[in-house]
This record gives sequence, structure tokens and C-alpha cells, in this order.
Amino acid sequence: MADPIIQASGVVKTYRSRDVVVEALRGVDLQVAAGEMVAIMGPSGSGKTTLLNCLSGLDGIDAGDIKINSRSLSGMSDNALSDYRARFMGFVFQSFNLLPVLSARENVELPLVLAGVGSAAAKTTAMEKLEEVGLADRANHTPAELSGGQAQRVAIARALANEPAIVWADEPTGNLDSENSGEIMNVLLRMNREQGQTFVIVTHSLEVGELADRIVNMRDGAIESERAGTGANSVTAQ
Amino acid sequence: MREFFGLDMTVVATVLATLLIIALGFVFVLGLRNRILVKLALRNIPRRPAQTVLIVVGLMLSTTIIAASLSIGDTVAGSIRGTVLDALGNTDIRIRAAVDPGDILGDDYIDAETQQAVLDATQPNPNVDGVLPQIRETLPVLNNRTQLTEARMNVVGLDPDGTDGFGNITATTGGTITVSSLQTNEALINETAAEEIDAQAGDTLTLVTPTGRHDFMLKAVMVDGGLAANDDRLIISLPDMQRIMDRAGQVNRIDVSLLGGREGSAKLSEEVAEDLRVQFTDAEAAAELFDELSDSDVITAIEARILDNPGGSITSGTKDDLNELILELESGNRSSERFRALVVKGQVAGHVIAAVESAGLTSQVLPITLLFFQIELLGVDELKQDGLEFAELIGSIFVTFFSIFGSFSIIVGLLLIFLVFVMLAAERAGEMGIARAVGTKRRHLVQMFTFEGVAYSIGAAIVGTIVGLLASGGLVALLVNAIGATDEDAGFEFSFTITATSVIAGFSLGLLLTLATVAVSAFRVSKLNIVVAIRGLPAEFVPSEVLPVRRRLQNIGIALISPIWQIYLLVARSKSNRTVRADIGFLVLYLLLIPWYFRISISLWRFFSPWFGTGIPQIAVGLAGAIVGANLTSGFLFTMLTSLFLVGVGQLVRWLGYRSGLRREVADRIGYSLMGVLVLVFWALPFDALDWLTGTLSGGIEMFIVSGVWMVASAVWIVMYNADLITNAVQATIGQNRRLRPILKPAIAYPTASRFRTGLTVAMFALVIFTLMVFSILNNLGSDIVDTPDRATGGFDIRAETSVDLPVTDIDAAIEVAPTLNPADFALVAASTNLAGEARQAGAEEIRFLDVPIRGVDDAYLQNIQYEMSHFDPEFLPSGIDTTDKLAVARAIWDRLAADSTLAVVSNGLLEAPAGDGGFGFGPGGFEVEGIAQDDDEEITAFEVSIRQTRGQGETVQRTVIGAVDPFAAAFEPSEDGNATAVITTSSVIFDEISNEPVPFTTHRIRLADGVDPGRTAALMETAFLDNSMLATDTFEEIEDGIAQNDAFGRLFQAFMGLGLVVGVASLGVLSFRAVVERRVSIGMMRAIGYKSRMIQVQFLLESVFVTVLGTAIGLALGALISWNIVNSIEDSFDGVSFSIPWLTVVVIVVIAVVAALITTFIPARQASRIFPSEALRYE
Repeated sequence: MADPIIQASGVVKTYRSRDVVVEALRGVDLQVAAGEMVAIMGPSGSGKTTLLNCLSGLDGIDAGDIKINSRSLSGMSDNALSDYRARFMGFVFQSFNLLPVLSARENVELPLVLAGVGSAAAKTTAMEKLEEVGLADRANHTPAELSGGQAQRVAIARALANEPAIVWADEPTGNLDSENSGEIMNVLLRMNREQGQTFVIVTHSLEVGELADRIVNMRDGAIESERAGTGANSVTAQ
Repeated sequence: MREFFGLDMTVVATVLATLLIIALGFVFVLGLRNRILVKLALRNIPRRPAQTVLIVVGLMLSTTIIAASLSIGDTVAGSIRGTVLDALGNTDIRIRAAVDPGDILGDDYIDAETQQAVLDATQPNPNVDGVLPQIRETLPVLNNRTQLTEARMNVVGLDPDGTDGFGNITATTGGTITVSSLQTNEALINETAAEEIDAQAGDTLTLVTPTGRHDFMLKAVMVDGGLAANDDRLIISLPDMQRIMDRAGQVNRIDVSLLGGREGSAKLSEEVAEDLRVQFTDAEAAAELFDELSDSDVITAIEARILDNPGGSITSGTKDDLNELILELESGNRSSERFRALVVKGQVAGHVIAAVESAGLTSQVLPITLLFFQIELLGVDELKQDGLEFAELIGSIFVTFFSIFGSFSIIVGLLLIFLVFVMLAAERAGEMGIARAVGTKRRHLVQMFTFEGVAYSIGAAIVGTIVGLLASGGLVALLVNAIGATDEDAGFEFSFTITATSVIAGFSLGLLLTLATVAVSAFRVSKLNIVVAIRGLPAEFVPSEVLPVRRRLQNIGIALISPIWQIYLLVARSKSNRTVRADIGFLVLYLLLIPWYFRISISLWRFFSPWFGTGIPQIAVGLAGAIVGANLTSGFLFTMLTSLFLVGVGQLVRWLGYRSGLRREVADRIGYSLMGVLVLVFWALPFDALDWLTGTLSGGIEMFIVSGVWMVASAVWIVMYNADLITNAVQATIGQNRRLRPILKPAIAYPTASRFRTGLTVAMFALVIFTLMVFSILNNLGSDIVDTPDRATGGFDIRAETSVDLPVTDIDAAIEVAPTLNPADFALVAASTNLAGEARQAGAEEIRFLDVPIRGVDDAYLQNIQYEMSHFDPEFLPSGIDTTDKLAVARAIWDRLAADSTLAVVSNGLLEAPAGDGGFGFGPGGFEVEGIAQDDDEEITAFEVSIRQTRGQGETVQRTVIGAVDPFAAAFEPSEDGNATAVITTSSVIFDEISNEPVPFTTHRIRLADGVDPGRTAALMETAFLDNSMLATDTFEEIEDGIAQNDAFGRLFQAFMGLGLVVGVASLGVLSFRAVVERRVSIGMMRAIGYKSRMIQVQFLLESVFVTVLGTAIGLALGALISWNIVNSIEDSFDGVSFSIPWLTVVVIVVIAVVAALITTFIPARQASRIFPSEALRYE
């Protein structure tokens, strides 16, 4: 394996609410190589989303260590983490999470604007990204005017806008029918192959998981098993 | 306080409380029928304490403002009431000589024989518990020990045998003092006066009277109140007073105390006063007058006048009196007491004389006029009741004023309540949708929402009333600051007062308004769409389906007969024996018509509402109504309905846009923008812009409120439908900043996306800022006088007034010989006297002689006075004069008066009030010039007036009025009724013609040599002319004090209206808290893609600032616009008034608004910034 871009070792995450203590992650070790597409699978409550949140720095951890690009997240301040996310990461969520008051293009522009890209350049890049996901003609529509599949493609365009090293996707097809799911996965796979970005995808759809390079199975907050997926084949097959 | 906008306060409170009980009763019965819903509804309240507090605060503000205005009225009325009662003690009625109280020349003394008659008439009356003959004069007093003087001491000589029933006099050292214990040349002084001249028991005081100087030994200092009164007062015994005034056996007033103690009794007072008035009529003169009036021509003339009622001058009370008079005359009873009681009334006399004159019965006019004046032997004044009524009147004026200026804040408060409930509905949408999905009925949801709303409303009304009372306490403190805690001359003192009726009225009105808003919000809830609600889609209410015309008509019919339907249901249910008692209650309430009325209204509304979208009903109703309004000369109707018409036009354009296939947004934007622009332009037009079409319309202060609301609404409407233009503008400017850009974009996009909420909040801010702006611009106008003080002082530095009994006969000579005065300091002295007179304008509709002071002035006055003219007849100007040169015109007019003693000028205040000025006048009564209004063009045509002394005494003379004096002239001189003195000014030659005795000059105006200190000279003059009881005033200082007082009042009102700002800011808080909840997930996402927590916080703050700045900008711009219109419209009557924007105030307003907005948003913004992304995203 080449130098891993994500290195997690002994990650423990516990949620406490009043008297109930939930051990969401119980010492997870995971390494993801640059350019790899990893699917995290497992039943509900197995800790998939928690793991993704912790790996991406959205959530803190109680023990263990997470390194992204060899840099440990645990020592970073909230502001530094925000910066880090803005520069190196993209996110795709189950329910798209576009800002309803902005148009598709403006939503894609957000990470660019955040990174300090000038407005003309941001506009051009956003249009390119929308083009890549096949939605250039919907650029001026608001999220309410888009279908679920279209909205998710906008979300992907947004996640990829500032060309992040890692894209985190939490159930990207969870709210979509199978046809739309397929389209979304194709877009993700294409990006992964063409631009060499690392993808970590949480899903409980076997069809989606199978498309990844590697499938990590979780159960009760720990990694139960790992196996290779068939992602590369399916893309080349198309 | 007894009146509220002219309605009896008790009635108002009762009606409001009854309505409230009905409304709450209705809700209560509903609750009884559905206890489980009540339980569910109330459970929400303790669930989120912070939100509950916020809701209660939001809901209470309207109530607070109402309660505050009412209790300010209470305090003002209560304070004046207290002052009146302190001043009068047990005195209820005062009997005096039958001369006009304003007549300075009339001998007001009563001889011994008449005194005895009064005692005989009053003492046996079982309602009378005291009769006190006395002499009261205003005299100069000197304290020999301290050498301090008081030029205007009220010296009262009391009959030692008459003080029973008038209460005790208490010495400051303790113990009671009686007047009978006073030895010859002993005096008592009250605390107020003692302080003035630093007097203490044992001091020798010198009293100056027309007979010379008299020394008295001060026996004791009295505690103020009762007989000791609360003005500057000195008491001596009546025999002493009669001696020093050279009035053996005479008195000039007889006070009567009635049962009922200090508070008195209005009914008793009226009864006794009427009885006394009849007794003190000349029976012989009455019989003669009876004969004169019994003439059938005279009766016909009176009847004609009642029918004609010229200019509405006959009030309904007087009309009843006149009709009764005719009945008495027809009865033929010459010695009727009722007849005498009627003819002593001034209004009756005036109208009868006018009737006789207008019927052309010239030979009868004079004898009838004379007889009217001979009938009244003594005047009977209901001092206490008149004083208390005055207190109530002033209290009501304050309430009216505060309510009108507070009404903007009240409107804003109601918008806030609405906003709060809209937010609440949005928050409950999810649960309500699920409740509906599992089978809850629509009306159950509405009821549940109503129960919750009612619970909040009751809490808010209670808190609001209490806070309102506290706030009014604070405002009263400001008021005290404004006019000084006590006005020592009047013995006035502020005391915080609240009456139960005000508390009930304030609470009920506040709660009713809140409940009405709850009802509207609940109605909105009823339109909830289940799917939209459950899926948490944008809070959008699905339009209700449109029923066919026939069904809608049917519904109207059902609504009309619905009470019968209720009875049927009741009967049906009672058979099945279910909850009958609650149903009976329900039916009773139903029969109280309110729900019935609503049901009919709603069905009618529903019938027409499908057509509203086309704008055609609005256009039709608006156009027809506007025409009717213009014909009724009602400014309110005309403008309201024209606005409705314009709204209809916008709707029509939008509808046509839809029909022609335009995109909905495009059609909306075009139609709504047009609507907003049309309405805004209409209201922004100068007030007289449409006069060519409508004629002059009438309207009062309510027009200010209406115009403010329409202008703000239309401006906000325009802005909200074109918000993207603002977004683009901001983006193109400050949006280029790299650090701001990622925050700015959503910060503007969010508020502009939710038009309704943001529009409402912007409108609230705009309304509040609008009033503040208008008020500060108008407040600023008065200050102009400081730059041109001569307009108010006439170019004189000191005004010196002396008593008519102690006149200065030759002031120049007196100055020469006065040891303390330097004649070289005095550059010029002018003299004048205001004499009580009556005037009648030739050719006017009003043919009665009406009261007006006649100011006779000497040549020095005419040749030097610098008062300007607001109106003049150009015929009387020298040819070639530049009529735009105000000073030259005024000089020319005054010169004409100096050259020709048959010419006169009137004060501007005697001209007709400007059209549409409802004003706060004290009602008609005095002389008014017909045909020339205060705001008319300055060039007028001279007219004739007949002038005579008051009560028809002496000769009648003619004067030609050639101009009107600028309203600023004497604007700051105090006068008895508090209004600027409005007089007819002419050469003092007139006194020789109309008065049988010489009239001395009582007022001297002095122009000092350069560099002489007017304040010091005024003080020196008071001392030098102590024997003349001279009161000298530094006129410039008087103006400055007046302006300072006005400014203080201005600040008070600004503070009051600032309460509205609290409402606006509270609404921002509500919006922000709601936004944090609604946008949790979005915030999580933004944090995930790299927004720092501080950026989120700044974004929320920016949103508030954006809304605030937008509202403030609209408010400032519209406020300036309408002020400009106001200034333009009053410029004619107040020339020299110019429009200027008080930039400092503007900056202060903006800073306060923005800072307040930032403070309120700080907490929710911080909450938002602390949302942890992983947690927020879990809400998905």
C-alpha cells in the first residue's frame, strides 16, 4: 500500500447522555491509501457515520489517533480543523444539504469563496463542476426546483469544487431510487478514477459498496471484516 | 382620568372588560368541551421556558404601551386634580360680582347689602356647610428683615366669623391657628410664600396697596393647602384688608363650602350653583326681558336660529336650553325661575341676541342686550368642579397624544405578536401535521393552537400591564424633569396616580388585541397542509380550494341561519344526553352574536375572495369609495380607498401578466412592484397635490398614522419583491472583500428568501424609525426662533407688567428718579394694555359679539415693534415696496397703524385654523376671523370689525384690519389659558372711545442700550417698581426657557416612541432564535465544508444588521419625505420654518438601532456558532 492518506489507530468514541453510555467506536484501526475508494458498511447503529465524522474531524474522539496526510487531528483547534476541511475535504450527505436560499451554482461556489477564490474564477469553476455532473443547464435553479438526484449531483459538484484530497460521503444514495443511485455512483467513481481523489463512502447498500475498491464491515463500533470490492472492474466495464 | 378619546372612561373600561369576558368565556367553554386539547396545548408552555419568556415579552409590548399612555393620563389628571384640591380646600363655589373675570377695569367689589343677601341665600341651604366673605388682591409684599420682595403676593382678608366648614389652618410649628385669633396688623403666610421672601414668625412685612404702605407682623407660617392654598399666599383678617384697601364693608368674593368635604360633589355643586344663579338674578329685569322675548317675532327668530345652526355653533346642550326657553316664553309665566336659570347662561344670551339681530329686529337688539346683562346680579362659579373637569380634560389630552404617537408602536407590537405566532405555527408544523395524519380534525388543531395562544396572551397582558405602569413611572420622571417637579407659582406638583378603570381598560384592550391576533394566526394554522408539514418543507400554506359560486352563496345562507342550526344541534344532542350544559353555554355565547357575526363576515369574504386576485373588486370598491370620500370631504376615506384602488390596479396587472403567460415570478414582481410604487407615490405627494380634483379634504392627526403605515407598507413591499437588486448591489460593492464574501452571501440570501418574515420585521423597524424621524425633524423646527428672536420679542429686551390698580403713570419719569436704575440703560420704552373686549367681523356669518382682548398700544410701540406680518393687505403698503421683504412689509403696516388710529391688526391665532387640522383645541368660544385661514396666502383684503368692551359696555367702534401678526409674536408670553395670547392690536386711542374711564398702561416693553444685562435690569426694575407690583421678564431668556421645555417634552415623546424600538428589536430576537432552530442542519453542513464557528456567528449578526439597516433606511427616508411635506404645508403660516434634517439625531437613531439589533442577536448567533457539525447533521 502506498503512503496512507488516512491513518486511524485505536479510535474510541463514547456518547454519554445522562445515565446511558454508548460506546460508538471501540478502538478502530483503519488506513486508507491516497486515491482509494473505501466503502464503510454495516447494520444501523454499528458506528459507520460516527467513524466518518471522526475521521473527517467533524467530531472529536476520546482515545486513539487520527492522521490525515500524516497530520494528527487531535491537536488541532476548531478553527484549524475548519480550515483543514475547507482546503482538503469535500462532503456529500444523504439529504444533500444544499443551502435552500442559494442557486445550484452559488451552492457550488461556497467552498471556493470560502477558500478565497475571486468571484469570477469561482463562477467559472462552479460552472465547470456543474458541467462535470451534467447540470450546467440547472445552474440558476434553487434546490427546491431540483429533483433528488439532481440535488445530490449539485452536492457532489460542491464537494469537488475546491478539488479536495478526500471526499467523505455519508449515505450519498440513501434518499435516491436505484436509477439515480447508479448515476450518482458513476459520477463518484469517475471522479475517483480521473482525478485520483480519495473517497470514503458510508452506505448500507451492497450495490453501492461493491463499487468501491475496498469494503470495510463494521459491527458494534468495531471493524468486523474487510474485503476488496469490484469498483474498478465495474467502471472499466462501462 | 374619566375620558378616553372623548368616551367616558368607565364605559370604555366596562365595554372592553365585557368583550374580554365574552371572548375568554367563549374560549373557556370550548376548553370545557375539549379538555384533552387544553391539556395538550398547555403542555407546550413549560417545555421550553426560554422560548415561553420570549413569546410573553413579544406579546406584552402592545399592552405595555397602552397601559403606559393611560397611566400617564392618570398621573397628569391626578396631579392637576391634587393641585386644584390643594388650592381650593373646601371651597366648592365662588360668588363674585357680575363682571367678566378678564375685565381689568370693572369694579369687582360687593357691597354690604348684597353680602347679606348672599348670606341669607346660602346659609339656610342644608347642602352648604360654610360661607366665607373675603377680599383677595394681588399685592407687592416686602420682608423688612431680609429685604426680599414678592411683587405678586396673593393677599386674602378672611372674615374671622366665616371660616367654619373650610377646614383648619395648621402652623408649621404645629398646632391650629384660627383667623379670629389674628390681631390688627397681624398676618399669616404659607410655606410657599415664606420660602419666596425668606419669612419667619416675627418678621415685619410691608404690603403695598393703592392707599399706601402698611406694615404687618407675621404671626406664623402655615402649612400649604386648604385655606392656606398652594400659591404665594398671605392671610390677614377681613377688617384689616378692608382698611388697607379702603373698602369698608365690602368684599370681592364669597366662597361657599358644600357638604362632601375636600373632594366635593359634582351633582351637589351643580344643583346649588343653579339655585344660587336664579336667586341672584334681578327679578324685575328678568320680567322685562321676558316681555321683550315673548314677542312672536323674537320667538320665530330663535326658532329659525336653532334650525339654521350657523356654522354648528349651537351645541346640543344649548339647543335644549333654547327649546326650553321657547316653551317657558309660551307658558306666559313672567316670574318663572326656570326662565331666569336659562337666560343667565352666556350661550343662551349670545344666541338669542344673535337671533334677534339676524332677523333684522334692529330696534329690539339694544334693549334685549342690556337686559341680558342686567339680569345677572352676581356671578356664581363652580370653582372646584370646573377645576376638576379641567384636570380630566388635560389628562385626556395627554392620553390622546400619547395614544396617537404610541399607536405606531402598538401597531408594531401587534405585528410582532403575529410574527411570534407565525413562528410558533412553523415550529409546531411537524407535530400538527402528524396529528392531522393520525386523524385529528382541522378545528381541533386550531383550538389547540388557540388555547396555547390564549394562555400566552393572558400571561403577557398581566406582565405587560405591570411593565406599562412601571414604564409610565419612568416617563413621568422624565416629564417632571421636563417641566420641573413643581411649578411654584401654580403650586403644581406631580404625583404618580393610577386608577382602576385605566388598569382594567389597558389590560382588556391589550389582551383583546392580542387575542384578535391569535385568532388570525389560528386561522392561518387551519390552512396547514399535512404533507408539507410532515416533510418539513418550506413553511408554505396551500391555497384553499375555491368552491363554486353556488356553494359559496349557500355558505352565506348557512352562516345567516347558523344560530338556528345550533339550536337544532342542541336539541338533537340533548336527546342523546351529551355534554348539554357546555352546549347551552356555547349557545348563549353564540347568541351574543360575536361568532355569528364572524361567521357571516367570513362567508362573505370567502364569497368574494376568489375574485380578489384579479384586482377588480378592489378597483371597483376603491374607486367608488374614493369618490364618496371626496364628496364627504373625508381625507381618511378618500386616501384609504384610493390606496385600495391602486392596490387593485397592481393586482390586475399581475393577473393580466399570468394570463398572458408570463412566468409567475415575473408577473408577481411587475404587479407587486407597480402596486407598491403607485401607493407610495400617492402618499408621498404634497398634501394639497390633489386638491384640484377633490377640493380641500378634512383630516386630523389620524392621517399621520395612516399615511405612515401605508408608506412603510408599500416601500417594504417594493423592496421585498426586488430584494435581488439589493443583493446584487451589496455583492458588487462590499461583497468583493474576500473574507466577507462567504459570509455575506448567505447573510443576505436568507432574509431576502423569506419575504414574509423579513418584510414584517423590516416594516416594524421602518415604522418605528419613521416616527422617530418625523418627530425629530418637527422638533427641530422650533429652534429656528433662537436665530431670529426679534420675531418673538418684537425687538424688546424686557417685558414689565404692572397691576391695573397700581399703574405706572409716567415710566420715563419714574426711571429718571429711581435710585437703583440708570436712565442711560433704557434705550426705548413702549407701552400697551390688553383690555377685555368683544368683536364682530362685518359681513361674517357669526353675528354675535365674541370675546377677544383688545391691545391698545402707544406710538412708541407702533413705531418700534418688530413683530412680522403673516398676512397683509397690499393696498395699505407704500407703492413699490418689495412684498417679499418681510421686515419692510411689517414696518410699513405698523407705520400705517401709527398714522391712522382706525386701523388694526389681528393675531394670527384669530384666523381660521388650517383646513384638516383637527387639533387639540379647547373648543370654540372667542372671536375668530372668517374667510382667512392661518395657512392662506399672505395677501389678504382688509376687513371691518366692530369692537366694544366686554359685556356690551360702552361705545362700539369700527376698526379696519389690514394685517395679521406673525404667530411667533409673543409665542412664548404666558397667558391665562396657556395658549399664546391672540389679540386685536390698534392704537390706544381706542380706549378713549370705548371706555368710560381712563385705561392705564399695564405692560411696558423695554429696549436696553447695548451691552446692558437684561436679566439684572429686570430684577432691578421689580424692586424699583415694587409699589406697582411690577413683574419684569427677560424676554430672550423666556424664549430659551420655552424652547428648553419644548425640547424636554420632545425628548419625553421620543423616549415613549422609543418603546417601539424595543418591539422591533424583540422581533429580531424572535426571528434569530427561530432561524437557529430551523437552520441547524444547514449550519452543520456549512461547518462541515469549512466555515469556522466565528463565521457562522458573524453571519447571523450580519443578517440582523441587514434587516435593521434596511428598515432604518426606509424609515429615515420616508420620515424625511413626509416631514418635508408637512413643513411645506405649514410654511405659509409659519414662514421662516425651513426643512432641515437633524443629522446628529439620524446618526444616533441608526447607531442605537444597529447596536440594539446586534445585542439581541448576539445570544442566538452564539448558539448557532456553537452547533457542533456532527451533532447538527444527525438531525437529518
